[in-house]
Amino acid sequence: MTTASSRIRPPLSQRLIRGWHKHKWSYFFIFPSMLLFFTFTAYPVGRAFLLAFQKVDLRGSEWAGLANFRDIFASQLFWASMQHTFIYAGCVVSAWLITSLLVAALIQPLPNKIQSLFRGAFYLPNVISIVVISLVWIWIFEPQFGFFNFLLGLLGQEPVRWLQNPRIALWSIVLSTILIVPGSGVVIYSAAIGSIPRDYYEAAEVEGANGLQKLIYITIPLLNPTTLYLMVIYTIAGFQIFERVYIMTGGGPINRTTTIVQLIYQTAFSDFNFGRASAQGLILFAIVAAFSFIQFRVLSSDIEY
Amino acid sequence: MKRLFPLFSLMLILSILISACATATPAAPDVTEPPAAPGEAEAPAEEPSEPGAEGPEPVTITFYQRGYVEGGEDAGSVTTAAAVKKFMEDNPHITVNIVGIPWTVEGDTKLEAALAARSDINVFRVTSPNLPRYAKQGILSEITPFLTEEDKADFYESGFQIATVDGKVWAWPLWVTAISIFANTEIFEERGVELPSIEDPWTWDEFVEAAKQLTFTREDGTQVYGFTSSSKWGAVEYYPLMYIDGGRIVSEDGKTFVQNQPEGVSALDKIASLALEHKVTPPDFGTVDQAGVRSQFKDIRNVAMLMSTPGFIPDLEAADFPLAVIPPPVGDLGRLVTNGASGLYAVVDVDDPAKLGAAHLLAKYLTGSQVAKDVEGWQLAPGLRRSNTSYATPPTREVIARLVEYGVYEVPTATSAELGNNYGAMLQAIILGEMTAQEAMDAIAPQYQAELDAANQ
Repeated sequence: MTTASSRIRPPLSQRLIRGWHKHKWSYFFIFPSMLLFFTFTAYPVGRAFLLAFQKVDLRGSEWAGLANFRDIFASQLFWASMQHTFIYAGCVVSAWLITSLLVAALIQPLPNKIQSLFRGAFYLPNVISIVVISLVWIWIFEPQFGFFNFLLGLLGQEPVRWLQNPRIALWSIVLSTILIVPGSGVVIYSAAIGSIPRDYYEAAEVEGANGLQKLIYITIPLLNPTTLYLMVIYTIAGFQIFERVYIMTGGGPINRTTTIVQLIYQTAFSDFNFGRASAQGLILFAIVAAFSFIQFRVLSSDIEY
Repeated sequence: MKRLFPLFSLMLILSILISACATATPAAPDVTEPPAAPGEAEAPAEEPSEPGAEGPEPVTITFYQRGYVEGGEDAGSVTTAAAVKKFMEDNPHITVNIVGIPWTVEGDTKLEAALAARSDINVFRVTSPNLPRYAKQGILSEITPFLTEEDKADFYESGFQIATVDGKVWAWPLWVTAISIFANTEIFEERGVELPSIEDPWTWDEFVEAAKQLTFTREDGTQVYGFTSSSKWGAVEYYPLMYIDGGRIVSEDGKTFVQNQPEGVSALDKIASLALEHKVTPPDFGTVDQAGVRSQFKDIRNVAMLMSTPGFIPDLEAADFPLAVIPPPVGDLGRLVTNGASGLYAVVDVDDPAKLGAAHLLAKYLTGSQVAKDVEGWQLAPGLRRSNTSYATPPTREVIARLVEYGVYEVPTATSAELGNNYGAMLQAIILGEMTAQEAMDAIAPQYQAELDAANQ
């Protein structure tokens, strides 16, 4: 058997030459995109990986081994920024999944045209720049003339320093994020709910299940693959939070809203410590990869319908 | 031929890419040198000229200027172009190429890249925090050999102090943004509060009393606050108050962190008391940035006193604001104090002595008294030369110019951005009542001292 297969299978070099002759036009056509990929993605990533183990300053760079990582793990600000990032990502991912599922479930029974209208309305904030959204939130949270304090004033309450009080600033940023229902989640959940066969619901109705029971026992379990996908992309987005923090608080007050990407930015472009910033980036990459892996292992399923 | 086609195609794409990456346009001709007349190049020289008979050899230098845009109509671009033009007229053998970089992180990155390459950069605006780093890395040329006796007598001592690292002066001092207090005279009149003067400044207690009187609610419900200042880290403008009791951040020799000593702590306690005890500041005091406080003072007009830098005066004048400039209050130190960011021009150390000399000549001109006379609007803040009186023309600016004499400045020290960030967080913690001044300064002291020790090694 072995003799027969080796007789059939030509040597590697011959297979490569044959493959080249067979697919040379394919390689030719993908060459420009591969060139761009290697120039603008693979090379910078590889360079960042090397920088993480180097000390970089104006005079050039020198090998530093694990010194950047030692400095990072000894920094209180790094651990504080990790804590803030985990709090933000945890709250935001949970809230986004719940709100987008609820909204998608609520609009599902509506006529198609009305559904489209709602999907469009919920998706609309996605096309607005995060900078603009953050500036609007700054004014909503403004301590003297802001909308929230205006509402509190109507209720006879004292004004709150939403972004100035170090104890609540991070929660204000979380609030500003979760109060905008993620349109992408609504659209994806809506499509996934629409593809669940009606038979399951009809069978459940015959058995006497109410709306909530149908949601818990049919819809949510069958949406597992969609939930997994959204959870992974929302977790990645949550860990990469930067613009909102940078614009609304700049990481303050008292560094209580500094997140890991904000810290990477500060390290690279305020301190010009590119080596340490690259090391911080690698740590963030490892954390996000680990989370994604765990989520895939725990939540992945072979549901088909 | 058919087999060679993909190879040729690949080579064609590569050659297109390579040519696209190459410089697209030839270097712009030097506009300061007159073009050769037709036939001039071919004409043989009639008489060999004597060496040195035509003056110094032509030299070209590059000047990196923050905020400059070629052909720009903003004040900074116009005054820079005018100053450089005048310099080249006075020194016809020197050609100056101006490279404009923005006052942003992108500008920092461009400057750092140019300094790293050490090519095509001769003169640039250097910030105090970066001065020690550049000096220690051997990037800068010391100015002392280029100072005349007249220069040495003309500069305020504090002018050299802000440019000194390891006992050597590394930059030409231009100005200091001497921080003072801007008063809204309408609110002062409304509350019947008398303005202090530089001859008769307020004591701390008088200042607090005035701030309390200026904090009130109008009949229409508008809340007016007595005092504010930019207090977000990176744009803190209440610095003079930190020195009024005789304390400072770092000892005068730049070797010891001293703000956790009683003089430093008591001043910080006083600043915090404005918000926590006397409640004369808006609710965002401690975290508000420069744009925020300036808007409160100039546009909303719900703040009676703003501690800020002179750069805000033109905006207030343009808005016809009821302005008076008053000195900071006097604390336990018993005399006036101001502080502020300094403007410095540094020269890059290069091997070519002609370029080095020309670069120092330009830096000297840009920081001198003559440029302030030559170019209207050049002097945006009080100069650090005694002879430079161009800034102090209107009465409001006279107070600021006179405050320069009372300047207390930190010795430039190379500390990390992380330390700056942590120190700024401690200042915020004090003002927001999260920590006492003593606790906050004791908390930051070990890290600050460690970095000072490392910098002074």
